[in-house]
Amino acid sequence: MVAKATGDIIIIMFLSWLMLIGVSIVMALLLQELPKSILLSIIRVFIGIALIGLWLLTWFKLVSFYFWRKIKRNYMKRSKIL
Amino acid sequence: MINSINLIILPIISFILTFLLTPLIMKFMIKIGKTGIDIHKLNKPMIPDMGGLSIILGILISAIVMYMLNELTAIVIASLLAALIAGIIGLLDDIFNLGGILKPVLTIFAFLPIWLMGTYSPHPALPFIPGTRLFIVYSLLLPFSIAVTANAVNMLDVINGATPLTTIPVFIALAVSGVLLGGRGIEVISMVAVASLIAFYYYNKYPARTFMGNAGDFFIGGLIGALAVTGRLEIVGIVALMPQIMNGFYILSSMKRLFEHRSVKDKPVKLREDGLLEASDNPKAPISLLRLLLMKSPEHEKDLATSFFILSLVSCVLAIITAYLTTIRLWGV
Repeated sequence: MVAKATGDIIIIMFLSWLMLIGVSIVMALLLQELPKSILLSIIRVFIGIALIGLWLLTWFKLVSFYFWRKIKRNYMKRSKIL
Repeated sequence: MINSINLIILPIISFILTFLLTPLIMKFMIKIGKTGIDIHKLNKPMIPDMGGLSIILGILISAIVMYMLNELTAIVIASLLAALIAGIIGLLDDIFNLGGILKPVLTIFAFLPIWLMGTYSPHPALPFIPGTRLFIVYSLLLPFSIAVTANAVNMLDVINGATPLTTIPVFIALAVSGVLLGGRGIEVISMVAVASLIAFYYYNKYPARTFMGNAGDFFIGGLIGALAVTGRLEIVGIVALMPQIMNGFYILSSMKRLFEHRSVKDKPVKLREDGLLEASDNPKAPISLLRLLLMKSPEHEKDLATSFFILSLVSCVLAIITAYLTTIRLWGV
């Protein structure tokens, strides 16, 4: 037997992995499109860090939102029954 | 080139050593009074702590045999030394309780063997970008590689069997990815760690007869981080450790500070009178992976351990796919 929320967490993990792959594709595109100078290399690194930061923030906010919605729904419902 | 005989013999040695050493360490810990309360059980039993020392000894003795078989490379030596430093910090925490800030700060120094021996490459491979040029960024992030993984593995060790169940797939993913990417020389030591963790799981599974302890958690977490860096499998390691990273990231984001778990007043999970665990509805309590797994309904600790294992398996399949994607070039990058 497994916890009922296991499937939900797998979906969250899969979505965050897809986002990471998306970030990689954007970074690959940036490496291809931008000319290779020192200034633009620095800009590329900053864009890369910003994209990874955005990825982590989206991941956290999504989970946080989903978690509290589920907690409110499931635990409040049970409290009413009890 | 992987020596197939060593790939079988060394994990067997590691398995036998850990299996035989764990009961001896358990007896010793009871003798010196180093026990902990299993807080997720109704009868609150006292369980011998620091059983993970058997894993450290099992892997290190296997490494000596590796040396005798000419299998020990600079990459493996640097990784084991880094993991050992992390393990020693964990041991000090087990004995002296280093606190929520000093412990992660000290683990930063575990990267020194990798840095001093030069067994890293600042060209991490990302999906569709086989070789990046991140000399400065990589050098800045390198000290945190061991600290993050060691602490992340330690933070997820909250129920019986959690560390073996969530790290065995990670080591398998590292070994498979290493082979996929042309043999980085970390396959044998990864399988040695797998064998040792399987042997330890026999004693640590629900209901646990021994706890892993911070020494074992930090050593295993440190070894994962070190192998990911030295084996040039950084992104594979990150994806394989997704459950641990999710857990650590959510806890730190919700608490907004480094802290010692013993000092947390608002616990994320509560034990009910029927023995099931349920998520706390206290907004001040940290959001942990365990609490997330309990968001739909209260669960039994054994089922939660199985869920941890499934989550780790899924992330490791994604990690192996990611390893394959790092070999693909997009638009000639």
